[in-house]
Amino acid sequence: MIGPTWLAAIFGVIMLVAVAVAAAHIIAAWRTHRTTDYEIDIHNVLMGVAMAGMLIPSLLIVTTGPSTIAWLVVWILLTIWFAISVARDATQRRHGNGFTGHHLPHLVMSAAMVYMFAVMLVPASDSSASGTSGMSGMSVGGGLVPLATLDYALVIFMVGYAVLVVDRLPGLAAIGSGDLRVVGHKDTATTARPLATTTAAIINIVMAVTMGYMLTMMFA
Amino acid sequence: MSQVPRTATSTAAPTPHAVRPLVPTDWRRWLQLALAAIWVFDGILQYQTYMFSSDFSASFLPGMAEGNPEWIASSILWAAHIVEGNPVLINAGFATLQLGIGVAIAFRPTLRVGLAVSIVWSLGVWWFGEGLGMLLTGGASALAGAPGAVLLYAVLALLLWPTVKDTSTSFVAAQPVGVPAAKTVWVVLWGGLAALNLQPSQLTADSVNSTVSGMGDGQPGWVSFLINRFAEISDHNGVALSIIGAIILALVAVGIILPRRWTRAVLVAAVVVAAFIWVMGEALGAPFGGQGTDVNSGPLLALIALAYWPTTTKAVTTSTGVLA
Repeated sequence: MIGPTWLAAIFGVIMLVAVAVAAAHIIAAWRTHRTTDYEIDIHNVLMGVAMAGMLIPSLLIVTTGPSTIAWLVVWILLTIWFAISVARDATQRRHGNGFTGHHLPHLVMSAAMVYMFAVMLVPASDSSASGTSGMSGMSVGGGLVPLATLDYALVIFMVGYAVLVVDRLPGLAAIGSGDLRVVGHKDTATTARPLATTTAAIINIVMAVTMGYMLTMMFA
Repeated sequence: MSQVPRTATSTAAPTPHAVRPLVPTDWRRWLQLALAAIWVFDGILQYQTYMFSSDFSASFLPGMAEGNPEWIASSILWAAHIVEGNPVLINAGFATLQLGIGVAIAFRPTLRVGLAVSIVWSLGVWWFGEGLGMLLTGGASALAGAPGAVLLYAVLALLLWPTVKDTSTSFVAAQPVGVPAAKTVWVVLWGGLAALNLQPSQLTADSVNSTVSGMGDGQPGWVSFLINRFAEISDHNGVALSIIGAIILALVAVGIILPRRWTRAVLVAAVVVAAFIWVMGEALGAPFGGQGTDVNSGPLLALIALAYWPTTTKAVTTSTGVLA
């Protein structure tokens, strides 16, 4: 389910690096009093840790049983959180605010995490299943993964999101971490100095591709 | 893109470059990104466990030689033998290259490099990995994925090549090669698919049924249901269905040279045909089971059709000076 062990380990290490960068991002923003989106940064840290745990079972971050259930609860709560954020974005957009947030991709990513952890629980409730091993216990009993079409759709979303963010990288680089950018409604807009926007975008790309990989490995 | 500040910390006047749009502004760029996404997905599919196995190089690849002329078959077997020598390292390279092509196309400064590499790589895979789409075996059909998905990647890369030509009275596919050449590509592609349907091998009672039968196995329930129903319909009706298919494909082919007011209807029909092929003949690329290597031809045919959609958008120079 995780593909070749060495490949999963590579993706897992990439996730750990992304976690370190995202964590450093939070600390740097806090220490320098510069703006950042803390909920997205924290989301990336949690997602990176969880995916690294699934990709490298020996880390013992994600294990079978209570650990999986705990992670599942975490991701359900985060999915609800981002669903509320998306609804709030939509409300602000209706009221004519210029920038209204960008929580939808993170809502889908959280939902994908819910899906993956839920799939991990399937064999745990079916002791007769004789599936393949992998992803720290993830197994689907050797048959088609539950909600296979959803799995496919999530993969398509992840690769689509990744290329969209890659497409935006030159624009983000032009803005730069020290330049000013417009925030808010056009009539009341002010400017702010974002922190390492390109770095944050690259983290999102890496997260999306890795999640796409994990969801694809569930095809088998 | 997620790190946009939620509160302002400065009251300095906004600078003009700060409001530069961060989303694609033209139809061609959206199509390029769709192509990039498919490449990224293909790269991820190539990372599946089966692709690293000796079975992939010892069985899957040599299978493409079957039915091909000797000189093609021998070249395919030669390539398969090389892969068999070090399947893990070589496949890792294959997968990473495909992932890299997708990223290169999506990243505007490397767009041309990405498209150029994709053309070279596609033609190589079309030969050595798909046996020229089995076109020379006499058994190829649109429903079975002809003319070979990877050839369509190369066609798309060509049609979506960035250009500075005025696009106000044209469609995306005509921008790099001109309207006559683009329409010729369309007629050859769809007309060729129509002709394949009229091969002797396709004009038999079970030609369609043998293509789709079993395709639904191991796929999601709704896909299996649709394929199995179509398989029932196609049973012993291969001749009629092949001829009907050939007529539809031929109409799509010639439709591009009809008056402009018919163009959109023809393109919608092409997308519907592509969707039909993708679901019924290709089972969405048959990704489930761990042996799918790409999305197959359906989405690419649809993407090509969208590249012919009439547009008045002009090519724009991006913030990096690269034409998208």
